[in-house]
Amino acid sequence: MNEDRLQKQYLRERQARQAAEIVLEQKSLELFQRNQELEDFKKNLEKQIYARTREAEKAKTEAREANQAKSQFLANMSHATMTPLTAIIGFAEVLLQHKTSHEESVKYLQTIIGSGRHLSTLLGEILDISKIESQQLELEALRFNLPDLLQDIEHMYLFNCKKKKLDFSMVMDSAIPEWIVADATRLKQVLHNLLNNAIKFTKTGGISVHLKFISSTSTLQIDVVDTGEGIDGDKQALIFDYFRQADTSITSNFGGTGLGLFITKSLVELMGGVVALQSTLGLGSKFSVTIACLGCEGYCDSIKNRDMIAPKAVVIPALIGNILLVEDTKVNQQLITFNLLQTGAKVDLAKNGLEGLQKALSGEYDLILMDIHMPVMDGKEALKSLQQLGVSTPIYALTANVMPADLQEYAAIGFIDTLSKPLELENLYTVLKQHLSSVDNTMSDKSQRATLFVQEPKIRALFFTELTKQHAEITENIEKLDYAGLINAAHIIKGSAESFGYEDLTKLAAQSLLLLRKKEYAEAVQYCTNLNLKVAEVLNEYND
Amino acid sequence: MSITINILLVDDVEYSRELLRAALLVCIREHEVQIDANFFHSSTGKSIPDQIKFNNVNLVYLDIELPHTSGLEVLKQIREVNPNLMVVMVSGESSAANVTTAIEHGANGFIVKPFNSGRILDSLQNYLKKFHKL
Repeated sequence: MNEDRLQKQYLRERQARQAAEIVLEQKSLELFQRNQELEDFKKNLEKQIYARTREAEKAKTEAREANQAKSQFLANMSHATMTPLTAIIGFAEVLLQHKTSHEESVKYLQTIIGSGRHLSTLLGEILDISKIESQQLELEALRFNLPDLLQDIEHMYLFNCKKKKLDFSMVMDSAIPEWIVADATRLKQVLHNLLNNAIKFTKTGGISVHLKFISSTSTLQIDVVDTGEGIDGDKQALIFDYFRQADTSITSNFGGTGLGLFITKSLVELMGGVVALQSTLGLGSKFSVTIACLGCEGYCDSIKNRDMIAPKAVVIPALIGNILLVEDTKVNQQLITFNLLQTGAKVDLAKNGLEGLQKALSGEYDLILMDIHMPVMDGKEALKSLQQLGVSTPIYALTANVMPADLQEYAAIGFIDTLSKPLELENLYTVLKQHLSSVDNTMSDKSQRATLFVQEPKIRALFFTELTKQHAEITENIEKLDYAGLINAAHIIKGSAESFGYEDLTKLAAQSLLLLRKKEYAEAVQYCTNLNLKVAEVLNEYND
Repeated sequence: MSITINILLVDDVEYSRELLRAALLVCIREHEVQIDANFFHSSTGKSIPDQIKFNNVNLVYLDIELPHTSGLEVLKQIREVNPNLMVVMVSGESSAANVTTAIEHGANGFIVKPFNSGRILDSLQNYLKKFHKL
């Protein structure tokens, strides 16, 4: 019986141990698997960390390179702007300080003008880049004649290439539309950039422009092909960045700023197109530009033998009138005043909006030209104030660099129109002719209004009655030495004599007033006596 | 169609008020619209808002140089009660301070003496445009 129990106990223990062994094995296996997983996980993490570190290092290197490139760009910009400025200031100083022969003067002045123009172009490019980067560049799509535009370009580059002994041809691979709607100015900018680059980097051979129009997609394709030195495959993407050129030595050897292609690419993309480049070192390059054309009309298969429109010479109109020019920059004041005076008109100058406001109120003007950006009070505020005070003189805005939004704003607040600076004489004279009268016309409506008033017999009678009264007052006040009374009388006479055309009376009254206010009483009384004598004279004339 | 305008002239110099009145009458007579003008005078800047109310004034010509006060002060007083009344300032000069203050206080016109009919006519036209849509 004991054996039975022992046997059973043995069996139970054996089962328990076996069960335990199984659990142990299971747990061991689990542990092993878990360990394996952890190992894999660790290896994976390490791999990821390694990859991320590599990425970060790469980004750091790229950032450093970009930084260096941008610093280099800034250095280039600084050099590019300082060089022409130095020429301008330098040669101007030479002309000022030294006696130079006529030929030398001409040469220096031409260099000054050339440098000025170059600087103007450069600054225009920098501004374009700034607008492009902040997404503020807007295209102005207008209808224009495409073959005319291309013909102008052709003539210009035939000439430019001839100077460098290069061939030039413009080839039509298909017919093109006669009229398209696009931004003509920007299209020209793109073509000038590509063609100037082509000339710059081509020593021998020639440049050709291929034109093709794909009517199914309304796209215009323009290829500029040159036989120049070509561009290395690695550098082909780089050249479209504005802070890189294919080679940093290019700026020093070939000049330029490397801005053009970035602007070209951005403009073309804004026009709904793409720029493509094919180039082989030593053989040449082909820049292809495609742009989307809206509103295509007409058909043109040849741009040879088109009628050239000769540029019109600007005729200066002979005008009479008073113009108020409100402008803060001295150079602009001088330039614009000069052009206005040429017509024969009278010009008054105000150097800021507040002065302009004051002059507009106290003077009689046929036209006001108002600069927008001025210290103390700007053009917009001045206009609003004049509107509030009910001044009806026509006012035009004068400003540089106008965006369509600005033009709308100016028109909305009350400017009749905007003239953009630098002023185009033709536009200026058109405006002047609208508001001033030409020399042949007899008195304008406005000056007729002014004289109407003082001819009125009732008003004239009033004036002379008052003059009589003041004559008595002055006599009394001189006797009593009542200076306050004399000031009052002189003030009244000065105010009204001017309107009625009595200049001498006005002058005497003004002088008396000045002396009285300065308390130089002895002299003042003398002047008042003379004034009174003149008054008596005028009254006698009237009474006769 | 006839329009009635009650005009208040504020200037301490009687001659100035008379001249302004005569000028306005010339402009009114020449105007294509039939206008009936009633003139009221004040030689000081005292109680102008009351006078405006009492006489149902539509248009005020207010001289800046007044005894004991400034026309600009009077303008401010008028604006407190009549924010929309047409007030034209009249002055012997257009100093920056006066012009800016006049604008700030909502003046509707600024005529510099000696006045010519052009300016007077303009102020009349502005009144007609603003209040009678002409």
